[in-house]
Amino acid sequence: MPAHLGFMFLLLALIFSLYGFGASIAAAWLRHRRLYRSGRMAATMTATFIVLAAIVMWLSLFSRDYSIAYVWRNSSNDLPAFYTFTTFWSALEGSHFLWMMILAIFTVIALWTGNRDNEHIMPWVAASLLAVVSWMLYLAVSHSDPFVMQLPAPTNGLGKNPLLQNPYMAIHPPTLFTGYTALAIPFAYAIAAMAYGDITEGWLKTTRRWTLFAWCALTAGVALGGHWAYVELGWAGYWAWDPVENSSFMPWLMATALLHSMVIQDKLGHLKRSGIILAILAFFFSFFGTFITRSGIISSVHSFADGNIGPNYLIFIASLLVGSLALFAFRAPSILPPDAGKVWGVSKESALIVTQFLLLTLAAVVFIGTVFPIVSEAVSNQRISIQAPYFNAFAPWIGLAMIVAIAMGNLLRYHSAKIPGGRAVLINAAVIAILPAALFCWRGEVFKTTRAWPLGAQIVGIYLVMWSVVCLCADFRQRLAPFANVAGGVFARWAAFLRRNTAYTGAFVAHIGVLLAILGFLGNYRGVDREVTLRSGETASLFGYDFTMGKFQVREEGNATLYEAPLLVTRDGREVGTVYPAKSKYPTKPELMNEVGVLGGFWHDLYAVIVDFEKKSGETVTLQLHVNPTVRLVFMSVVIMVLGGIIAAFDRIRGDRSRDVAGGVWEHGSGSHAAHSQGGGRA
Amino acid sequence: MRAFLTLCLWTLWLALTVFHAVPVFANQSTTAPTTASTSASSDAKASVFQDQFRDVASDLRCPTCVGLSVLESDAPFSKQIKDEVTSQLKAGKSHEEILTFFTERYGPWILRVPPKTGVSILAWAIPLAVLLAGPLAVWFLVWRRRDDLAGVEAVKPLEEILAAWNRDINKRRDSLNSSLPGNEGSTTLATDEGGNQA
Repeated sequence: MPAHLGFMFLLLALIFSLYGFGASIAAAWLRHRRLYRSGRMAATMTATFIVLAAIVMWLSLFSRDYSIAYVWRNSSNDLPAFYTFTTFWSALEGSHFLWMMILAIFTVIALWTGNRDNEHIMPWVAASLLAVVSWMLYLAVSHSDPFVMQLPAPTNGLGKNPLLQNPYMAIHPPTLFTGYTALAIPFAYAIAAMAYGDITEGWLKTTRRWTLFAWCALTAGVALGGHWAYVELGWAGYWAWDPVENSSFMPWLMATALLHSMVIQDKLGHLKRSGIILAILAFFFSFFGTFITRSGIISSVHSFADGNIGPNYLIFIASLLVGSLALFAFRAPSILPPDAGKVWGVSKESALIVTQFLLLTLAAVVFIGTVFPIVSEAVSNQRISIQAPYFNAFAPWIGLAMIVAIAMGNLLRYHSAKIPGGRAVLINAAVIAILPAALFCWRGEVFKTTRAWPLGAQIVGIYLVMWSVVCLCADFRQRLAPFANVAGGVFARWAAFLRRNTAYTGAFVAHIGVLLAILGFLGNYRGVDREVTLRSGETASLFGYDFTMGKFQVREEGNATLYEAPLLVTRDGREVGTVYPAKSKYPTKPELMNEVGVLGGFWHDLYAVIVDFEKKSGETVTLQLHVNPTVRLVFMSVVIMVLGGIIAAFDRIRGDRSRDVAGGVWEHGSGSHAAHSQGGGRA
Repeated sequence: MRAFLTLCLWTLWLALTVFHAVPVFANQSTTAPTTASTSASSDAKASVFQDQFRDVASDLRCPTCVGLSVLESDAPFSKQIKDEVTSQLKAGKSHEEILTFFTERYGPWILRVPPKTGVSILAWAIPLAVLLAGPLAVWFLVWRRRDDLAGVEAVKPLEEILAAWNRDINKRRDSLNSSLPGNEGSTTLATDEGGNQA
């Protein structure tokens, strides 16, 4: 019964979204205001019905209604409430459902908060978003139906994948999907700008905020995924360049490039068309990621042909890309060039172009590395693998160039080849950077890297990062200087500075975050590990740490049984803490899962995995011990990056005040004057 | 100063890319094991052996995992491969010989990077081409613009521009007038008698 109800809600949502799409197209064509409002109302109803269907799904999960196949396959009676809740998105149909729900909610938010300056293009925005929503709803009622019945209902489910029973899996998919779907809004505005024929400043301020929001969510989502892999998979790394990770990284790179393009568009009026292309590509790649993870095309081209959903996705993303680019080819010439001529030369705008080049090149490398095995198998029938060493052959060089580009780009000014403060800044930074770089090398025990080549790369990289950080700080100090005379003390001075430089401060914080992340990558270039077999009370040492095994214990946690080998860690006789590696057994699954023990510090993460243990007595345990340098730094830097993004989004100069008023001109409906008096999009 | 800076940056980039391309196209990997230290201590020997083992094991993919090398994996298949690598290293085979052995047995799929032959060469060539051509494109499209603009910046006097506009408008009006059917002369569009005429 709930299955029927849920399916009916999805069907109603599909009908409403199709109506909304048609109404928005007609409204845009006829310049008909009330028709657009009707379409917006239909979008709201669509989202409402999707949320209702989601509530039905959650209720079925909590009532253990195994007559729904999705519930039966992915949950079981023993599952704790928290993981029952997250089961919603732990398989294919459910994650498609979540994607669709977040997209529908963002569609409604974007349509109702649309700025008055943009009112004349809103019908196109609504039409683009509803086209995507209705296609996803079509898939949800046809090939990816979450409410398929399973009768007669079994008494217990098959159980949830133990790998997904981790707090990070609760928050990682929604965060990542938030980022993916939020990129739909800049995409819709790009399509709208092309359909309408031009870009206004109101356009930029709305898309900038949504892109920043998407960027923050993507940054957090990618990092949470990495952290999940780190604490759950047990191979002591957080990033393996596998296709699923890559497909979440590509939209991030595109969104980052889009943000840098928008800076130029905002300041100089250039790169309008490149912004449009990047907005299209960013959204395309978020769908592309979904496509390659959903369709089974990663494992083999041949498994791809089996499912229905894969080819459907392929048709959709291909038409998305071809349609958008065709629209671009026809309409881009109508987008007016900026008033001012191009003066590039050595300047901040050129540095921003170089940054975009680096980001897009990295995206191209990631893209080739992800799809080339598929292409190769399809074209020459030769199966090849592209894994971490391939990406590591290119990424460090691009990262190195990015460090320099970040420093130069921040120091340079628009329309000027002169760095304020001159060469002195660069040289002083080069001298000052020696100290923190040496400190980092010493505390991070970099010199224990035995081979010359990685050691050299690490030292050069660390020094360059420190130089770049010092350059950024010097630039910050220069920007702060004019505020020295503000009356009212330190607080008033900083308030004035932040009010005037919100976007800059956000960028400063985010760039520091990026540099610290690179520092973290350089630090954990070299991890050390060792496999040992211990009895209770025995000690193994690794990299100066002594691991003493305590008493092997068996305990219950939630629905799992843990077989745990606590390891007391000491260094030079001083206690560092205790690591708890374990194996876990879930009631519905036969195999034993790894529960990684991590003891984190700033410089070293102590990471222990049980490889095997004597099943009868638990007396001997074989362990894989790792000392991973500066992993904590990488995750901390992500927090800093997200913080920077959030600060930048509060920029009021670009945020609330528009410099350009272009009210909607409606031929039908309440008339053009009413459009202003009733507040347009907010009415 | 600007040209010098550009030259420096471009040379640096070229050097980096070429430096990087050499190990990519050479068959030998960059992390070739250093010659064994002359120290007779068995500890150092074990460490060198361990390094060699890691180099080989991290170049082979775990056949049953996603994205991991056999070194990082404890899957049964990976363990077999690791045992095979250990015994071959002990038998004195070199890094490449062992990789060739596995490639012959399982196909190029077992290597973690695509081979540099056939279609797969594209996977290496395209990123390198982008890395090399990209800065050139940026140079030609963006940085050099400034020189072009030097000519444009010498703006014509306003009067000249206005005169050109007026000539254009008059020409269009004349052609419109002459194309109006039937009534040449009687209902021509008004001629602009304002002050804008050249």
